[in-house]
Amino acid sequence: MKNNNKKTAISCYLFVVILLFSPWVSCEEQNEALNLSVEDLLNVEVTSVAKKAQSLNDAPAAAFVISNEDIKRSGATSIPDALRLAPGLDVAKIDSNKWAVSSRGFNGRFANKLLVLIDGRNAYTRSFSGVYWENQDVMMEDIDRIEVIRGPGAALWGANAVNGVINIITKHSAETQGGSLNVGGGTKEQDFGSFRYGAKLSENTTARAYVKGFNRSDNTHLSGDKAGDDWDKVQGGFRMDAQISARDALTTQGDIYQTHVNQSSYYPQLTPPFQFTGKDTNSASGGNVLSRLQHTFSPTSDYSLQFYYDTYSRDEGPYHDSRDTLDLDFQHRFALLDRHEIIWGLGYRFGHDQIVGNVFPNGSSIFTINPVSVNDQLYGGFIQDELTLIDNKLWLTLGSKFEHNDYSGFEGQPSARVMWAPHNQHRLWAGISRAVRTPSRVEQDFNLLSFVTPPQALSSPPFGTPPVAVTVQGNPDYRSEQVITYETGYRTTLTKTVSLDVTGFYNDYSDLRYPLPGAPSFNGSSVIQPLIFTNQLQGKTYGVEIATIWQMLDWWRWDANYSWLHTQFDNSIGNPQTGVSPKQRVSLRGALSPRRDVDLDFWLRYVDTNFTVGTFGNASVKGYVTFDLRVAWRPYAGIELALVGQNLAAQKHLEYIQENQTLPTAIDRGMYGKISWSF
Amino acid sequence: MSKRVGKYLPLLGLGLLFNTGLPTLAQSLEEQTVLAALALNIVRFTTWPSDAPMKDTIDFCVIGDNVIQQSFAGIDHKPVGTKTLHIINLSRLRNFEDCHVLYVSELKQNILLQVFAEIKKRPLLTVGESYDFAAQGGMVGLENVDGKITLHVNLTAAHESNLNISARLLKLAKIIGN
Repeated sequence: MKNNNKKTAISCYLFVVILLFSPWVSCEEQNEALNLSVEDLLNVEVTSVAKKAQSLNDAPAAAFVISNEDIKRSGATSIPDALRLAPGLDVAKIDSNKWAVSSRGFNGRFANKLLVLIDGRNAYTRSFSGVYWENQDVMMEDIDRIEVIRGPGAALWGANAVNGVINIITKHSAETQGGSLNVGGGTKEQDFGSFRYGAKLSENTTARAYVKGFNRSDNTHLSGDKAGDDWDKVQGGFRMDAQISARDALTTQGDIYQTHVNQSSYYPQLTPPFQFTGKDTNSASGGNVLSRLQHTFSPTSDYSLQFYYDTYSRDEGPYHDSRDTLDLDFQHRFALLDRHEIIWGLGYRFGHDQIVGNVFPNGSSIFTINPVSVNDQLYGGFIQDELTLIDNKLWLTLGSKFEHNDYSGFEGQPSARVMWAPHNQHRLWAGISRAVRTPSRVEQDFNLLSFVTPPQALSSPPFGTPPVAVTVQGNPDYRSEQVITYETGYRTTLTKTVSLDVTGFYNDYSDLRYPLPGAPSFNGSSVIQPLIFTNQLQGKTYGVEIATIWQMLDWWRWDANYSWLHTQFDNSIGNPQTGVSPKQRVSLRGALSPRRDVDLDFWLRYVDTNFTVGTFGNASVKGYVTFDLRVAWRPYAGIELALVGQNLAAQKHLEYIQENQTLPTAIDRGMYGKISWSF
Repeated sequence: MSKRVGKYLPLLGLGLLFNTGLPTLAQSLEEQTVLAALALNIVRFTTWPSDAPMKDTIDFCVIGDNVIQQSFAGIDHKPVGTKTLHIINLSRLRNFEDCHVLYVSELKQNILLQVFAEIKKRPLLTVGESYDFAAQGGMVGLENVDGKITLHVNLTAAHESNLNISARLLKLAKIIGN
């Protein structure tokens, strides 16, 4: 009751303060501006800080944009950590070098229902249908924005955009001219540095090149021991943009990286003591090159032709995974009649992989795959029509992707969306979509020793039960998982300084992955109990995501997000063996610039209980509250000194337990300093 | 949960108190409002050729998001000489022939160049926000330089379209080209 009173008092106060900054102020401003002469208008100080709170995006989808400024002021040093800024995303750090990232539930290290693109290049790997986040990096200072679209994006982007699409977009090279040098260090972010230089190569060509590297130190096991999850990485890359003619623009870019990843792992084995822990020292390397030609016929018609090649090689303790991908994409946009905007495209992708089970130094192995190497292809097309029903008021978007892959054959992924703008301060939208998550290589072809129950001595020796080995087995008949999603949303700028974005969704999943116990066998010393991947699980999720921005003062902005998620499985077949993402997440950020040369930021996060499944059994990871602080000072133009404290609320906290192999690792409190010089 | 979050509530409260306690920055106006007022003045300082199709209204087309649309609603129906300004929010990049003024808030580079190509030499005043709007073929560019708006005028583009921009305005602008 007391709590309720408190809440009421707070909301009243908020309401009063919001009223103080309501449109009356801006009406006054408008009249004032219209009464000024041109000379005065050119001399008056203008502010544009509230723009972010006022812009409503015009996509009929649950979209959220993380800007370069947001990333900088959050203090995030990696892409997944920056993604915590978005509502609806579940980001959990497994250890220093691994993340579990998903949208609208189903999280895991190998979360498979979220598509990630970096400048148009797919970062989602077919090997396990997911993203090796530790492999994905860019120069954070050169990110233009990260677009986060929750819900299916399959009609445009294709398979695996089941619960969301993340588009990481770096700046055009014309916007990164000159040098940028960033160096720093601290407790968890032990030392890091990056250098970028951009130049004009000719009248119509700009380019930049960068190199970055870091050492990140290890965290702590729950027992208090060092977790040994430290890692390092070196990465370099370039981007070149050429305006070949008034109609043609060519972008070419590439990256190359090398990383060393350490972890303490836990593995089962068939011989006594039936389990062992190891300190893995793994490495990964990779690179990519991408080229995109854009030709513009007219303001309403253009096409782009994109090619990329991506390669990576990743050692995990139990296996080695390497993959080469070639991708070709064509997209054409044009206006038809007076009311249609059509986008259609064609794509082709070729993949070559090699996945091999490793033998541990003690002679045991837990992972086999057959065949070890596969060439696979994907081809498809899409068409979307955005139809204006009433000018500036009502739009209908219909589209579908049709594609063929070597794992599940043909897939059709349609979507229908409608958006209504009753007033330029309000947008309402609703949509229905179908999307599929196509099978991965391991889901069809692998065999993994998951855990071994040691032999039990019975009361009358020498009799006893033999060891029982549980193996997870791929299934060549494993099909796509599918979802039908119903979404609706409302966006408004309540006043010039307050915006609100609310989305509700209902997801109906079928053919989800379910490990079905197969017939046990006896190999002479152990009982083998296989768990075979099937598509027998059904489930539903529904939830609400709220994002608000309040530009309280010219120099003080609040960003608050709240996500609520309910996950429900059909339990009639048994334990669903699927992770359940936190029910609630809160992010509250305050960005203050009390002086032009000083920034103060704080970021409070609450994450509800996370339910994880894996070889350690099913576990509930306790909810946590933590916060980050950042102070930055710009003593001279182009120079910024920043001090960032991360996860300050507790000395350490557990965010996630990986499905297998990684021992539960708590994330430590951290602090780092950074000097940036732009010239 | 509420107990733990409760610990941080005083912080929020403190923030709200500060809100009323500290003064805002000196005399400043919102950028979009200033841009709309400037755009109205630019129209007032422009003369269209006598053969331009123009009746009682000067049709002012706006390409921009809801923020821009809202700001420009404030100059709708304002008098310009004997005529009145009429704001048209363009949701599609077509029918430019219906406009006397085209205001571009934000447009991808490749598309902007094609808009210029399409309306070239028509008696259509183009005003835009990017720093190189005028250099790329637009007539009047409005650039925010350290919190103040700077005018850029491309006289060649204006002359090609037979538009005459008053010397009083040109005096305040940076002239691009000859």
